[in-house]
Amino acid sequence: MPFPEEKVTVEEYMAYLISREVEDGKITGVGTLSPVPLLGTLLAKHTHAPRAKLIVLGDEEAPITEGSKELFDLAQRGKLDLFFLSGAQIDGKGNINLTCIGDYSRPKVRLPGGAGSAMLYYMSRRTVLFTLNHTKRVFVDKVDFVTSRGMDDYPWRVGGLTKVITPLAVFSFDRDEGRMKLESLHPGVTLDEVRENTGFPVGEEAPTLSPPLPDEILPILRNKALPSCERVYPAFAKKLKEKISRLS
Amino acid sequence: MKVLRKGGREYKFIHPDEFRKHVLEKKNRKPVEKVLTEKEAVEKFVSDGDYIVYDFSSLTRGPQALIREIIRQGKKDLWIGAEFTLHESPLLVGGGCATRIDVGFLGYGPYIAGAVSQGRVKVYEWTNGGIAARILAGARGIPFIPTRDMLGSDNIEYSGAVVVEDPFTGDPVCLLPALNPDVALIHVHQADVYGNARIFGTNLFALEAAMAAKKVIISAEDIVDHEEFRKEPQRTTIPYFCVDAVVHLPYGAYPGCMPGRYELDLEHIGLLNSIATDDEMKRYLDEYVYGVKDHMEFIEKKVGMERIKSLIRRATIKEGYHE
Repeated sequence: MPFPEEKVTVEEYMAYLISREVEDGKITGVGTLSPVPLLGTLLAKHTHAPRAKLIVLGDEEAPITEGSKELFDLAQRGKLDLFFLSGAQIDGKGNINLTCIGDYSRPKVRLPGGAGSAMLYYMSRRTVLFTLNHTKRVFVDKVDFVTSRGMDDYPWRVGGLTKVITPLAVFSFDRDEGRMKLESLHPGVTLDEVRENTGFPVGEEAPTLSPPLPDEILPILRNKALPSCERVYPAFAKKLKEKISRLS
Repeated sequence: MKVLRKGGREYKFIHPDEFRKHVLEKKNRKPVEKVLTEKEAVEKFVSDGDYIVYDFSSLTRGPQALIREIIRQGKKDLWIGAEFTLHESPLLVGGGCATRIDVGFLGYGPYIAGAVSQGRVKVYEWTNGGIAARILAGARGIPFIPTRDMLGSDNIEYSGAVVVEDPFTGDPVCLLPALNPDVALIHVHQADVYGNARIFGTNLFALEAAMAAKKVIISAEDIVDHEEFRKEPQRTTIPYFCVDAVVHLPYGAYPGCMPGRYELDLEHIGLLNSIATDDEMKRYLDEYVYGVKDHMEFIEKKVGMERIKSLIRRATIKEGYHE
């Protein structure tokens, strides 16, 4: 059974889980096409991380004057604490593919490309992967093209994958084995369901339950974080509001 | 220096001394008037086979009117490099203008994805930070720039990047070749007749692109008196001596936004996103590009001042406080 959207939508729940990754007083970057991470980081700012510094690409009030170039320089200096990436394909080693599906020279689907991920995955201290589609098409055994790598031994690499947040579960990353490990299942989701929708082994152990969204957080998310998110992602916010209004 | 990894794909490169010679011989430091129409500027400064870059893209302060003029004039065999290219790449490929793209980000919509899958356009895989760094090297007059970019990515095999052992630390480092484009297209808020230009708000690599490119076309929302620039020289983003042509193109970023001036037109962007087939592309270009003689006719007849006014209202009127 997928995440039961009774009181909370799955987007809000994922945003809550993402908010827990944001640390107070540090710099978190949110790239383009990342509405759920933006909602989560804004929630963090309104709850446990009021002094977190957010750099939101696409926001007219982003504290950068030289655009995304400045973000890359910041990351190369090792000042970016947390960034969010996604993938059309993600494999168990945390490699992501944003370039093409199928063989590179004759792709089945050509994707828009990795943008800055080939640097930011390496140079952010922590990277959280997110996707709204937890299926075997996304979570594959091996990506068709490595747009950026989850882990390797480049000596100066400051960071890498720490968490993967999906509509079904949370994965952590085991640096010793270099593999994603199922950390927790969302309320209402079974281990079999995750196994059936994941193209790499997720283990036999029944992991813990992802933490529930506390009652007092929900109004902050809906009344404070969502209106700020709307400025950057108006279409996403509109859809989410409609979805919220349809909840029982 | 020990080479550790190398893709060896084709990349645009001009020897720094050759570029220096070009600047010395072709760039005039005299303040001369450079105002042209978009037709004249593109005829004079964009040639078939040129490598073009544009600062920013179709959603924010992109030189959209100049790009439409390039398509209208049917320029051929262009190689485009942009940190982000969103709707420019499908339009330039659909118009038969571009045959090679350095990405970054390839662009929105099914049309460009299809064109790449069918092999109608060659793509080289960089990163958007990497392209900005290449242009920075081009502006500095150095042959390459070391970065901590792309090292673990398959992009290395599909680009001209080279991973070497850094002689200072012994660690691997990714070298990107300097990029000196033939043409830079930059849309700005204000310019004077000599080419001094001001950009307000967010910016990607406008100054670097203007310094690195052989030919620079500025399109401006407003042409302002030169005395205004002299009063506040620190607000000049691009100095006149980098610039070859100034074109007065109000609403020149449409359908994208111009920060502080007008918002983007989501309806028109939706139309661009929906183009999937050659027929749909032809219909779009016939209607909005070939069907008008210039940018102002496009704005007056195809967009309408009522619509422009509503986009201006959305960008400039803000009520209350927000965080």
